[in-house]
Amino acid sequence: MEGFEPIDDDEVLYRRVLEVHFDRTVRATPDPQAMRPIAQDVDGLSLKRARYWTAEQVSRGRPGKTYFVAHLRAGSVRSLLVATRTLTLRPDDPDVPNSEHGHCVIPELVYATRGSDESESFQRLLASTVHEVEGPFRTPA
Amino acid sequence: MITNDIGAALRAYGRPDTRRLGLRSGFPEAQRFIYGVATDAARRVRWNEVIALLRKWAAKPEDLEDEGVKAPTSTLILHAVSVAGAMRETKELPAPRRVTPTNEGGLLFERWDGDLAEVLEFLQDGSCEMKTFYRDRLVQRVPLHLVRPSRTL
Repeated sequence: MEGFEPIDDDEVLYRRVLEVHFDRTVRATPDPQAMRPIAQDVDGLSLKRARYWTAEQVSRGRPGKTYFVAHLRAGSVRSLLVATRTLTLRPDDPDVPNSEHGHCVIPELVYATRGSDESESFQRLLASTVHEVEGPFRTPA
Repeated sequence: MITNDIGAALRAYGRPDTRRLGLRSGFPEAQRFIYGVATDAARRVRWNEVIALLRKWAAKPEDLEDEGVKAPTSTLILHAVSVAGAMRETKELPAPRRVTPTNEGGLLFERWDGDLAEVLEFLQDGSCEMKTFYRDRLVQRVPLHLVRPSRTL
């Protein structure tokens, strides 16, 4: 089903980035905090597929606040390695309640283990893998 | 170790375990990272910028809140201001290149040079931790026990 199919290596994935977690004058990639699971990332780090979403749509957050959108290539995410572990990308399952079209997660990066050595290493690696940051986008008040 | 001598406790900052990282202590990359390349005046200017940014956040910490993201409290931010002030006065301590609120009500001071990165994290409960990354992998994690200062700078 479209929007729930497996993710190709050349697909671009989006992650919304808080304004305080990116400063182009300091570094071209966002702070690793941008790749740290938040309370909502219970079953994995949440990403949107560029095939189905625009960066502007992904950027929408709290009214009146400003965000950036980080671009990650699926193949680059899968090629990251910490010790012998790698990351995978899982599209939502359309048969599961609250599944979202064009949404996927990295199931190895969950909120519960966000402070582990392995998770922190992957958060940093993911931030370094970002090949473009779009924005700023301001969510209308 | 429990100490209120912040400067002494943080002398470890800027001294990653080079042997563990497989770097000889005389290796130029390690030397540059440890001692920094900035002049003392430039170093102080950068620390002052960091302190000014933290004070701005302390005045309105709720601006740092977001969905699933907890803002650091003013108390914690002002604690970081005190630590930053002590570090500024400790000559060889380089200033962070990036200062960031964490998603969990804490703050980070971060600097990097080549493959090495060092992060001083102020956790929500007031404790501190220093982390060293080599090629983006976490290789060292050291808790720092700092007593909260009784006044802010």
